[in-house]
Amino acid sequence: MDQTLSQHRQKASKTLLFLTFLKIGAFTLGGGFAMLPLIRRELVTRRNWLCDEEFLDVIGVAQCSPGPVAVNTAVFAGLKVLGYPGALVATLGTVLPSMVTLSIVAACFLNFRQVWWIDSFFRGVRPAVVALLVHAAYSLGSRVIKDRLSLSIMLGTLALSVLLHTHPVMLILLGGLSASLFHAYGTAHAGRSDG
Amino acid sequence: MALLFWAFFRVGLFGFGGGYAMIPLIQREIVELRGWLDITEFADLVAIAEMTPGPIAVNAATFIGYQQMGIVGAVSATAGVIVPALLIMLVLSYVFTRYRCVPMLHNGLLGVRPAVVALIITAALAMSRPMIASTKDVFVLAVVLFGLFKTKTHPIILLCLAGFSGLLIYSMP
Repeated sequence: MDQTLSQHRQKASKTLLFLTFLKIGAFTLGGGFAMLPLIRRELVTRRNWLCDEEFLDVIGVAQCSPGPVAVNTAVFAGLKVLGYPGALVATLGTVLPSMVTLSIVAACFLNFRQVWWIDSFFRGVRPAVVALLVHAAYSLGSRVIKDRLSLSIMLGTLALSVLLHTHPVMLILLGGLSASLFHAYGTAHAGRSDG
Repeated sequence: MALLFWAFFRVGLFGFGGGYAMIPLIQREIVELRGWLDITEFADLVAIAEMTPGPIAVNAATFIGYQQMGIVGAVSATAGVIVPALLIMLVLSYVFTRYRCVPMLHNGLLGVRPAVVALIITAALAMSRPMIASTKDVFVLAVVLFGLFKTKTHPIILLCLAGFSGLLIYSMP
C-alpha cells in the first residue's frame, strides 16, 4: 500500500467531509428530521459516498441511539466514509455552526430581551412553542403508538410524569424495560428456544 | 463547568429520538433541577433553537452554556450533549455492521418511543400553565395549531408569524 498516496487522499477527503457537514450544520433549520433530506443530497446524490440503502441504515441506527439525530447521522456516515477520523470531523462540522450562531444569539438576547418589541415578539412566540410540542407529540405518537402495549406505556408514563413527577430518565428506562420484558415473554411463550 | 457538562451529558445519554424528544430532559435538568432558566425563558430558548440552524439539542446546550459561563460554558455544554452520542454511535455502528440488526435494542425502543410521546405532552402541559393565560394566548395557540395540522406550514414560518402577531396584540394596551 502506498502510504504517501493514501495519506494524501485521506487528508483531502477529511477536509471535504468536514466542509460537507459544516454546510449541513449551517443550512438546516429545525434540526432532527428536517436535516435528513440535505444530508441525503450531500452524501448520496452529490458526493456518492453512500448508496441509498446505506443511507437508510445510517438513519435507522441514528434513530435508535440517544442524542441529536443529526449528530448521530454525522458520526455513522463519517465512520462509513473515512473511519474514526471521519466520524470525528463530521461531528465537529455538524456542531460548529450551531455553536457559533447560538453563542452570538445568546450574547445578544441576554442584553436585549428587556427591549419592548423583543418582549412582545416572544410573548407571541410562547403559545406557538406549546403548539409545536403538541404537534410533535401527535406526529410521533401516530407513528409509534400502534398496539395496546405502546398505548399503555404512553398512558402509564403520562400518569407517572404528570401526577408523581417521576424523572424522565427513569420513565424512558421503564418504558424500554417493560417493552423488552413483554417481547421476551411473548417470544418464550411462542415456543422459541432463543430468548 | 463540570456541572454544565454533566447536566448535558445526561441529556445526550437519555435523549432518544432527537429534537423535540430531548426537550423534556433539558427542561428537567435546566429548569427544575438547576434553576438556570425559568419555564418562560425555556420556551423562548426552544423557539430560538428551532429558528436557528443546527440540531435543537446542540443549539439549546450552546445557548445555556454561554448564558452560564460564556464561551467556555458553551463548549462544555455542547461537548456534554455530543460525547455520549459519539461513543454510543461508535459502538452501535460496530454492532450493526456485524449483525445488521440490534434486536434487544429494537424491542426496548418499542417502549421508549411511547414514553417519549408522554414526556413531550408533559412538557407541553408544564409550559401551557404560565404561557396560555389570556384569550390572546389561546388565539395564537389555536392559529398555530391549525397551521401545523391543516396547512403543513413550516414551523419556523409559524414561529415568526406568531412573533409578529405578538408585536401587534401584546404591545397595544
